[in-house]
Amino acid sequence: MNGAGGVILTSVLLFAFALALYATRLETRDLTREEMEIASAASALAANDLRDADGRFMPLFVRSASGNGLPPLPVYAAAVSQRVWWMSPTRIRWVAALTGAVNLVLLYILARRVFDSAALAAVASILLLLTPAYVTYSRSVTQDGVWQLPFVTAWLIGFAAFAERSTAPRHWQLAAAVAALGAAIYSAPSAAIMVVILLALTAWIGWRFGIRRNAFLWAGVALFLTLSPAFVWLLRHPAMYADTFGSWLVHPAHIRNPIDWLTTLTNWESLTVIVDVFWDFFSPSHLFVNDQSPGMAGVFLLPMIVPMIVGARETLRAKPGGAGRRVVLVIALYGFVLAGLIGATFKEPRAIQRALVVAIFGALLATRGFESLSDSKTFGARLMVTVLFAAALVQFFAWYSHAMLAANPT
Amino acid sequence: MAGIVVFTSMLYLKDLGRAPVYLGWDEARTAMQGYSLATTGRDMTGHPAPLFFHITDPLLPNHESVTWWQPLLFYLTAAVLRVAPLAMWSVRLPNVALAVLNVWLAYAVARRLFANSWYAVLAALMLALTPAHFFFARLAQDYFLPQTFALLWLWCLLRYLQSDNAWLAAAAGFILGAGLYTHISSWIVMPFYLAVTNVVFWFSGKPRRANVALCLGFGAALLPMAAWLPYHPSLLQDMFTNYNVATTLKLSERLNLYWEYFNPSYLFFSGGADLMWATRFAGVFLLAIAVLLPCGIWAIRQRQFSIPHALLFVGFFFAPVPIVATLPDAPEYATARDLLVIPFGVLISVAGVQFLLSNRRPLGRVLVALLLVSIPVEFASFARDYFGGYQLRSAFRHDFLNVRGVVESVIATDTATPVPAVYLSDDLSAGKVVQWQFHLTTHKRPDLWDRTRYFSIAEFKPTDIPSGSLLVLNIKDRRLTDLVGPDRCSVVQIVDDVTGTPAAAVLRRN
Repeated sequence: MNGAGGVILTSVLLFAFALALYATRLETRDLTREEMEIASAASALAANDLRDADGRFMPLFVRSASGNGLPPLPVYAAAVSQRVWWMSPTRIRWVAALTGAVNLVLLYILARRVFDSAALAAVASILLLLTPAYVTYSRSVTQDGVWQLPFVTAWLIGFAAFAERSTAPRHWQLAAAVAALGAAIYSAPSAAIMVVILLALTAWIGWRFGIRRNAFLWAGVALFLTLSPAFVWLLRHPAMYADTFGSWLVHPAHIRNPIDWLTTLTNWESLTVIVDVFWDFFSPSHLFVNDQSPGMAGVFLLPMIVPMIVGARETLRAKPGGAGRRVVLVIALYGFVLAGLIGATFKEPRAIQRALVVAIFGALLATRGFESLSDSKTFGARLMVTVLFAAALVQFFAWYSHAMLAANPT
Repeated sequence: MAGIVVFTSMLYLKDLGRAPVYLGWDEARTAMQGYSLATTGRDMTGHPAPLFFHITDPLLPNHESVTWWQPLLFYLTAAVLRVAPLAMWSVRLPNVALAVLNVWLAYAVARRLFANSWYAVLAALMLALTPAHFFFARLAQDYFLPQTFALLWLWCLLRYLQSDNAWLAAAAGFILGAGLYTHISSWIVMPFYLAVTNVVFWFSGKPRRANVALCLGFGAALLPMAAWLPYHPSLLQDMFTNYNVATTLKLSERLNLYWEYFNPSYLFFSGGADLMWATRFAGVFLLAIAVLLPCGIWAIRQRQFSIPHALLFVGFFFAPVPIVATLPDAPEYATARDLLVIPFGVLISVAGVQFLLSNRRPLGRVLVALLLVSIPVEFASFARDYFGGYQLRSAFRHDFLNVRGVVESVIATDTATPVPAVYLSDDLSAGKVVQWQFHLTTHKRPDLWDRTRYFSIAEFKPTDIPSGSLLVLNIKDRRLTDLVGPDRCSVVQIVDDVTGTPAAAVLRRN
């Protein structure tokens, strides 16, 4: 089935399947401490007519009982979910499951545009659907996790749409894309640094692909408008800065003294740790083979290593294709590498929950790899595609049944 | 090039007897085995000119041990000690000599890899100014030796590929075989290089006699081992046991370990976690290599791919494999065991310089100029720290007891009032005993060695120890106060280390 009907039907099927996978037996494990913090902040909001612990009405950033600043998206979504599924605290995990499923549909739409193929779009979605780290965070309400991903995918869709129209560019598409990315700062603590990195990538790709200044101007205005609520709110509640962006992005002391910030950042020992954490993020034992995890699953399934490498290689070769496709694949490649910086700036080893955006980029690169392998039309390449897919499914179910459906680990 | 050799010699010889500040226990073993060979023609256990050295505790007669060490450094040290006195500088001299040879070999290899001889000079200079090369050249440890054999092998191989002289193939094989006597990791590295050389010959369309010559050369170097092993059948089993070789898959751990050996934080910033093997203020390489190395890899991969250049890749990426394959104790960032990464990394970086200079844009040339200028600047900073603060920071790792200070204290006490015996705590490792033996020998007091015994703090009985004897133990030992008392012992001296921190306690049996 082609056209809009096909897209809608596939999207619905993907959404339903993702929800079935992500929302199954959510109650088998007790809420973690981090989940409890969000759940109790959400309960407090719901119980106090949308006022936080400090008595602020509909706060943009919510202060938890333990004093941490929480981003609004998971807290408000959890508050709504508690109204809907009030009978069980673990049901707030439905919010993450829904976010994961929505992002999956968005990725399908993006992949349709990038690969110009319903089959490859489905492959991209299935690869993301089965990514262990993505599944894990689509089943838990943590501060960082799956929340910022729909914004990133929306940004990619907008950017691709804008880049494809090289003759008559529609500036509003880039503006919408950048606005979507900017809105991610309301979703998770790590989104602040992620947005900075991806905006820099946008500017670099835009310069490389010859995007006009006018478009950037529109994008800048859109970004400003998106970030304005946060600016205004923090101006009205400056005490909240230290607990939000102060700990997520730039400490207030460093704003007062940027030289001190620069000195701290470029300090030899600090650089040693940051580089170490960055490199370690990409360790194969983190990304692909973790023998501490059921089924030895890493962030990705092990068979994905082959198509991802092939996809990265093909992207570097820059084979002909539409501008939108090239833009997205180049972003996927560089974004994948830059994502390691997110955890590294927090000096937190293997912080996949902060850099879950690699799941999107990895799925896109792997799909490009599968596309390349399928295009070769040799028996060996096709056999490899089949074997890799089958192996991925086997590993996924081995991992999922033990890691996701089992009760609390002892 | 002669200037660089002279410069390297001066740089590497500077304060050799003073930095590192103490002779580590491995170095002390090298020193005493070399000294024993030089003076008696036998190893410390009394075996005449052994092929592999059985490492035992010299205070325990017939000590059972599964530790065997490779012979080459012991014999080189013995050769030096035939003409030089036993001292910290003299036992470190062989590795410094090999380091200077490495610098020349880097030049010779680079001459065959790069068209312009200035690149060869640059390779030599970059190797000389590589922190880890400088650092390990100044330690009397056998980890350093395989680099020389790798460079010699590479030189012979490149010469053979250009000349077809079968003797060079045989020489390459012999060098690989001889390399087996340098360090335990060579038992994996050298056979691998042998296999690689055979593959190179095959890809280069060389006649089969080249492979035969290569293998004959390798086999010739193995003859002494073939003759020696039947008389020491436990050697292989002992080595396997001693290094605690992992036989289980541990895929994730091995993958991670391999990955981490290319961690830029380790290669360019810290150089490893152990202060005995790194200053932690410089990496294995200088920071400029962090740019030049990827440029070199890219340039070789994309522009100059050839068999000789591919060998550089093979050498560079194979360097940590012995550690990953065997998973010995404390395998993470064991810089000493990863030293083969140095010569290959330097040569690849020179390819990076060549690539950047071949770029017609001024940006590439400016970048190269800045990076090359940064090399001596950063090395100077590293060297300043190495000869200064690092010596204080690392003192406890080389010798937490300050055995030299203890020996001086004991000699002073013995001179004032002769002591019946000196008792070392058996909690101190056998390495400490060898350090003790070394410093007694350098102070020309073999009589004190003859009066040295072990004692156990846990089973201390005053009646077992003659009155007036000295006891030596770690100052951090919490049972120290149990030993002190009117009818037990009194403290003669607390020996500080170079930082002024108390390191050892010398007690006298009352």
